[in-house]
Amino acid sequence: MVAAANEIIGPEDPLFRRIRRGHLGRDNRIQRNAYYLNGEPDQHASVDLERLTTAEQSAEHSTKPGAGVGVLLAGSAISLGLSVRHDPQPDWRPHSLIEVITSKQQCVLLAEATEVLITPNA
Amino acid sequence: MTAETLYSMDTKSVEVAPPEETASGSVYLWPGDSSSPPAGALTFAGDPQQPTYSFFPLQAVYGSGRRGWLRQARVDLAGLRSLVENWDTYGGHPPTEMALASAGALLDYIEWALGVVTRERTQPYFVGPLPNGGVTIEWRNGPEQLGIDVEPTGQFGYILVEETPAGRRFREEATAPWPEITDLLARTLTQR
Repeated sequence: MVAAANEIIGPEDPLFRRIRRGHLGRDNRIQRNAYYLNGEPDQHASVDLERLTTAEQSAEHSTKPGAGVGVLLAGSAISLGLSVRHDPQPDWRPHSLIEVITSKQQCVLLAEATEVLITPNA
Repeated sequence: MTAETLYSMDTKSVEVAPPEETASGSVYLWPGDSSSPPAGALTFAGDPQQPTYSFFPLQAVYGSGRRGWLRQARVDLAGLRSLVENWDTYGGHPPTEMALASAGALLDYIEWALGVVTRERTQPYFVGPLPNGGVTIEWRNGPEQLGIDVEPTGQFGYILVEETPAGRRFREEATAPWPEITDLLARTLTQR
């Protein structure tokens, strides 16, 4: 069996990032902690490639109920000097990565570029 | 001079986070266990081998001068106690007692020191969790943004976003001493 080739992700490709209530400010905007891991910028931030899934499926793929979904264009990350690549997992083909996020500044700008699609309720 | 000789509270234990080998910084002094707020900040500066210490008592401000600007922030902070392991589905830890207490102490200090001057601007724009067990608090004043990250150990870091004629300028530090944090807050919140 031949594995499907990885997708090429272009600047116009929308990406989904799972979010929780703790990632939203009072005005429902996504905050920079949505792109943190272990207290530091998430160097390899997991996202889902929109053309391989839906926002609802992306939310449901969470290991906990109540997840929300934010969307940003890959170009928003690329314009910050970050790379975006398809990283399919055995059980989840849409999985992709934004790399390599190293600064809080990049987290601020990524958060500003991300819009809430599905509001988390937990 | 050691931290203990500067610290005169009636307590059997004083927990002092060891300062890093930097020329200046601050550590927090905790009465008893870390579930209680810090008693104060011990700042140090100068020669790392023979630093000059000064003690800043935070307890003096508890319960004084509360004008309600930070009521919602305190509610938000208390709400973070309900978070559980893996709260963000990416393995995030809930905030530590140390982080919550340090964040609370920072709110107390800011309200006490700046509340009269900055009034509603004293209110944080955002109080949220960090996935390492820390807490983040963000203040905004017009286009200026100051995000303070409180680490699980109670130490502070920050990101400052400023608007300049040349465009947005970002400045960030993974760790910063208490005097630098409070100075940044004072400058950010008092700018018109």
